[in-house]
Amino acid sequence: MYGAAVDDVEQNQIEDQDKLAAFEARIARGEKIEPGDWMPADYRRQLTRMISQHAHSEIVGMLPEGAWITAAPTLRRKLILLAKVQDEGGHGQYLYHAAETLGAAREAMIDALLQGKAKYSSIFNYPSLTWADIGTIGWLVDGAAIMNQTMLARCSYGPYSRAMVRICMEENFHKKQGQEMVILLSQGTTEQREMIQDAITRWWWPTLMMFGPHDSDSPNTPILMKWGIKTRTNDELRQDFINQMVPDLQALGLILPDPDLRYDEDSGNWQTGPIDWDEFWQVVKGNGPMNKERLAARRKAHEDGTWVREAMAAYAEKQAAVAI
Amino acid sequence: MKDDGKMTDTQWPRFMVFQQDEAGHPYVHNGTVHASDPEMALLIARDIFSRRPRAVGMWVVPADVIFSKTLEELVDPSWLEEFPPVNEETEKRPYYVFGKFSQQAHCEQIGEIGAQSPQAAMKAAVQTYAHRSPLMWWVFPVHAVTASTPEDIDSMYSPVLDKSYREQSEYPTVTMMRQIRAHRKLED
Repeated sequence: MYGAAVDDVEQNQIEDQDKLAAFEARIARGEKIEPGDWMPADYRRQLTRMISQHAHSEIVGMLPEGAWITAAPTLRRKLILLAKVQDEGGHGQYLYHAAETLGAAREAMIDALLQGKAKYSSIFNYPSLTWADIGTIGWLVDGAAIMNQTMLARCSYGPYSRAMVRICMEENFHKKQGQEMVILLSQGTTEQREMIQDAITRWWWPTLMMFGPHDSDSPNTPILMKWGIKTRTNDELRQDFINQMVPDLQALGLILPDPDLRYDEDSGNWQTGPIDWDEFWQVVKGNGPMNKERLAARRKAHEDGTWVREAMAAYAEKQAAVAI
Repeated sequence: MKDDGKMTDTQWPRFMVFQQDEAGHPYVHNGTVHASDPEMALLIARDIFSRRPRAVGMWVVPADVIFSKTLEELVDPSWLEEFPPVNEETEKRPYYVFGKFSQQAHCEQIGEIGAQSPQAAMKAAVQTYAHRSPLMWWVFPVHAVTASTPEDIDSMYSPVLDKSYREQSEYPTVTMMRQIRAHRKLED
């Protein structure tokens, strides 16, 4: 009995090795893996983790900006902000769908978020203190997100890749409306210039942290790159972002809060001073300025919607009874 | 396309959402919604998926009636035994056939086929549309579709066309940056 079971296990392992080789060959050829295709359990696990965290980030990401909808200074800005926040809600839905194709249940993912068990991007645990933060979030935070998402649009898992293509297209509107705001404020009155300078000062470092720990502290990166989930490392993406942003921000007369920032002629890179990773890990662990408020706001929204869900369920039940 | 039955599922049913961007164009898959009934699914789908690009029609289909096969799955013929044998006297029903035509693409409508079961529909689809050589196949019964109507276009899908501020092309940031840089040069 036992002998047969051991033989089966060995046989399965040999088959899995063959399947793994075929799977990795498909990825090397640039094929997309689709639901139904064989995939290693760890590929499914890593993707489920990444996509669900990404979905939660979109949902929680509505909060810092949603707070400013009623305070937008013009009707145009209010319409833009409404559309942007609505987009983020939609992005969360695209991503929950992509995670579901891997076998995750949407209800379980949302429960994990509401119970504080799931991670989401730490950037949303910082407060949006002034109207200038809205422009800064659009240009810097969404700009950083686009760098990461443009990479993920090429990832090897079909449903995630397709969701990302669509999200990137919409995020470009978010970035450009933010950039327009920052440009206008930076060329505006003294008060406006001070307001945008203050926002840039507060958001610069947290935005750089969005790309995640340095490659040397990112143990998942090699396997994620091997399986085509990521095609570039955290540090590579962060450097591209810095190189793109520094000249533009300086052209607007804005000062970055980094005395060590300098242009390196040899590499052609803008080099920053050290990132405060203690701050990053504190926020990840739930001790950021807004972690508790964000979760409380999500829970309240969920609880406040209970009667709507109950009414819809009751209606569906009644319709089903009529149909019989 | 079932959720693998991994947990006791108390959430509302999933509906697959398909969108048509212009009359006469194929319907294209774009995601799922959870809803208490098909009517609600269409409303939620409209809010989530028709912000852009444009839509003139939407379908919602219960996710668990979609029978799906990737090329990899089709290589193994055991899928033909997944369903009980079909009684030849059973009447054929129409099935929609969808396929994915490039690595990056969503599944899109290919045609329609009559069959007695999803498995028979898949078999017939693979034979009939082999020349289109999709990378992934979906079939589902035509009667499982709940569709928006042409009368819905004005109220549901047209308003978005006036919201040009949702397009990145509305923001001339490249020109603005160029002008600011030129101005600073002049001052220097």
